Amino acid sequence: MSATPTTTGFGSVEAGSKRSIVSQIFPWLVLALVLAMTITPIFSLIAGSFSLSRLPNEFSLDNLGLANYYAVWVEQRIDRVLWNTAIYVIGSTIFGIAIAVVLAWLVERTDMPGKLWVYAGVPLAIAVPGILHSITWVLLMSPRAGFINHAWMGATGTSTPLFDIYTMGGLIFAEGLRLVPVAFLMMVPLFRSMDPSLEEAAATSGASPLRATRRVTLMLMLPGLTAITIFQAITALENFEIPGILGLPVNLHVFSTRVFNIIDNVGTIPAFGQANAAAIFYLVVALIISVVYIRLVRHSERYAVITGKGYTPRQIRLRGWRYVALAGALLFLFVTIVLPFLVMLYISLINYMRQPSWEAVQNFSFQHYERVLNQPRAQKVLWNTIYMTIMTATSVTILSFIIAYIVVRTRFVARYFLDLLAFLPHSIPGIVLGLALFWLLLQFDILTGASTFGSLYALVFGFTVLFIAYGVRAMSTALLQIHADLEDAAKLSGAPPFRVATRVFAPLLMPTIVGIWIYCALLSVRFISLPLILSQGGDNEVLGVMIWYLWDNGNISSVGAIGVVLMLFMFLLALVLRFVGFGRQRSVGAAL
Amino acid sequence: MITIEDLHVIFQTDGGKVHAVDGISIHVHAGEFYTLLGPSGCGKSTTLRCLAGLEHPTSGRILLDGEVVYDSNRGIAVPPHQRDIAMVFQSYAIWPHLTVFENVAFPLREMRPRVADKEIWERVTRALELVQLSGYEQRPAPFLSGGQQQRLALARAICRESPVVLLDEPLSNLDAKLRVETRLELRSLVKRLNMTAVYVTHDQTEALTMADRVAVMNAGKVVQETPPREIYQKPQSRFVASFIGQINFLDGKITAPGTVDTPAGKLKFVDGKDHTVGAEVTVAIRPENLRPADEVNAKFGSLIEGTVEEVVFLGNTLDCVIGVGADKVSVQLHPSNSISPDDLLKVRVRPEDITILAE
Repeated sequence: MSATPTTTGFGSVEAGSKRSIVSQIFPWLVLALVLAMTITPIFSLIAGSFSLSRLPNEFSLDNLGLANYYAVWVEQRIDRVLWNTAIYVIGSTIFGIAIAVVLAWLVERTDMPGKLWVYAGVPLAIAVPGILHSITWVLLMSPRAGFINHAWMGATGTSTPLFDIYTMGGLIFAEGLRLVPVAFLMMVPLFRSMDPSLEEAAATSGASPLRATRRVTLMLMLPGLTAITIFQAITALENFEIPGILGLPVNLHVFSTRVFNIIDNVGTIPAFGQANAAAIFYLVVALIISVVYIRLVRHSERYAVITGKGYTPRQIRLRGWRYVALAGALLFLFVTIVLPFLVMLYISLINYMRQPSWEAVQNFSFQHYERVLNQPRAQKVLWNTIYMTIMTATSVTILSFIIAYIVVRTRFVARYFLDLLAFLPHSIPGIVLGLALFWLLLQFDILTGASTFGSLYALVFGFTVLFIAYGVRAMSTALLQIHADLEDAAKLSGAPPFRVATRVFAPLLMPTIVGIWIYCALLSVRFISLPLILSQGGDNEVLGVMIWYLWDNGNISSVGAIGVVLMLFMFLLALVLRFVGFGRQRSVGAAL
Repeated sequence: MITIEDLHVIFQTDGGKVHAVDGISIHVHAGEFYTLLGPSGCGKSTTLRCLAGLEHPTSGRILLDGEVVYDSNRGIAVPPHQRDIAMVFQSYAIWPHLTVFENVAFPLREMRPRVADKEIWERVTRALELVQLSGYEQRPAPFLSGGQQQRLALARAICRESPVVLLDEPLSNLDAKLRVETRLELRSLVKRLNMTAVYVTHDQTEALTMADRVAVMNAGKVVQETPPREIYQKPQSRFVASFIGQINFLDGKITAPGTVDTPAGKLKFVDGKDHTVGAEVTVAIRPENLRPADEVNAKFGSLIEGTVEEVVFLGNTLDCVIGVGADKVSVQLHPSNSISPDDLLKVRVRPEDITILAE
């Protein structure tokens, strides 16, 4: 460097070039970080699947082989799990999408009354944790003691239950309902952006209204609908909370429960290597579906900028069916939001497990709340959950802004690779990532002497990896809508990069930032698959895990008390999300 | 004031390398109003963005006020926020979350050492007065009309009192009438504040009316750099001649010094240059320089005659196309002429109004 440092009207020459070097290296650092976050867990998962040692911390390069794959494929018949998983995923996706299509169509294209209730209610359904849904269904529809079955058998005198939730049908019902809210939010813009003039053109060409809908509207929506369906299939495939509560106890296995079962089976020694081999099959299936999804949406989703055209789509008159439609929509909201809350409230207030009756109501007491919430364990868990949630949501938000900025706004040579890399974790099921981190962090601690394994930071790291794909996509969409000149004008006004971020990007992106933050907070409380595997007792136990073990031990009243508190907290977050985040609620769906 | 030496910008795109700026060297004097004119994609905006520091050149050297802000050989690249430059964007780049006052105050608030609130207030008020936006201080910026937003962008650029202002097609989003008014206002404001301006436009009228000097760009290169009048009257290439205004091209051959043979006959010209006799050239004549032959102009110039093929009445002019042999020549006449198709039209052109192009 031959330049002499001079302070001039144009700033120090030295400082200028130093900054330039920093700005050149920075994207590479981010790329390395994302690479480390996504590829290293996968790598340790693969390495572990070949390990023949009994435990992960005994991993050695001398003791490798294919025995785990043999055991999983031949002895444990993973193909049967694959078959079960296929039925479960396809069934629940069809069920969930069908309800979502009807709901979205009703609120967007018909004159159904009370639409506001549906718009306001559906996001609340996202806030109900899956494990509480499953527990609700068990309490209502388990073959003998389920409230509904019990009442049915009492009323009719038969001994055959009306429903059995511990079946494939039960899995499909429960997971299908869970898919509806997000599918609905993704579909609303699809219905809304349909230009009615296209249908009118079909009508003037002599098509009857029904034919116009079928030939034009449906065909135009087909690509979007397919993308949403595949997206929901991935969600169903990755879900653990539903099959974990409803399938696992009766050995009705899908991929997520099978992988968990291999390492967490009472009475048998955990077979970590085999779990990894099974997880590899699981991951490959998830990756294949994700690739199909990416190919489908690659061109459409990102640059489909919302048009400002303010047309109101033609509304179909339901006439006498208006109130029938409203009743159906409200029934959905009741079943997915109100019913679980009522069931949780009920079991939290009774002294011992009994069927609902007037007598039970008279003996309601709040003693479980006092007892549970005064436990040191519960307080620790509560604090763990809050801390983990805040850390996760914050790190996802910051990291997504940085990645999205590099991808959208710079000419960094590897930006498309970075984008792809940030999307990759979307196809890693929570249980698989948990298992991968189990191996990775153990090895990492052995190598460095740190104690990341079993700490809260393991969860924060894992969740950040899981949610980064969502964060980057939501942030990129928002960034694309901010004109590059707004940033350039700030730079030319003398604002250094940090000030540009705080004075221009932060205020303009605030709805998106709040949206991503709260959505990730919701998700990290809801998800139990990853913390279940990484949980090592009190230090990093979180609420979801605690509920899982309380339920496992039959401590139903405590589940109820914690469930009610948790649901109230989640509803509050969801309300904040609706009023502050994303500006327009439909962007939640658009960003997914 | 501004010096650009051998600037190259190469973009890596999906379709391969694109040489957006191909070896540009420019010198802009202090206080000058300098315009980069060219069709879209010619590299004019990229050049301007390199000056601002928003774009990273591939190679070259840029000096502002005698200080090197970019030098590929020495690895110097001063980032935009450390360059004392103001810029007006085509999109205005008005921050929608700030008021009119805060938009203008933004550059002042970024100054280090900090500027006192009182001084900020004074300077913003003065800048808003200059662009006639007084009274709008507390209004949210998105509530301004297009023309007001344009003036707000200008106020923000002038309030930091940078010696250099860069303008990237600042008038192209205004409607036609407002654009005409703003053109001269903008120029006189920049001149009054004694700023050095680099102005990018694709609009020839803006270039001709506002600039002290115009550089016409094409395919990443500066093809001609002169005062506006010369750009129009003495184009040095077919590209410049046809890009600015209307012009007729005729194939010609120099038959003697000062005489060129064209399909429209032998034409006399004076351009003070040496041409080899026998050279194949292009003869360029502006339509308005072809005047109806009469007694007054019979003494000088060459006669061109042809059959009128088309007549278009434009209000202030009468445009006709006459057929001269196989060629067609456009002629611009005063609307008082009564001409109709199939008439025989005789026009004359003065020797100094003929441009000989080597291509």
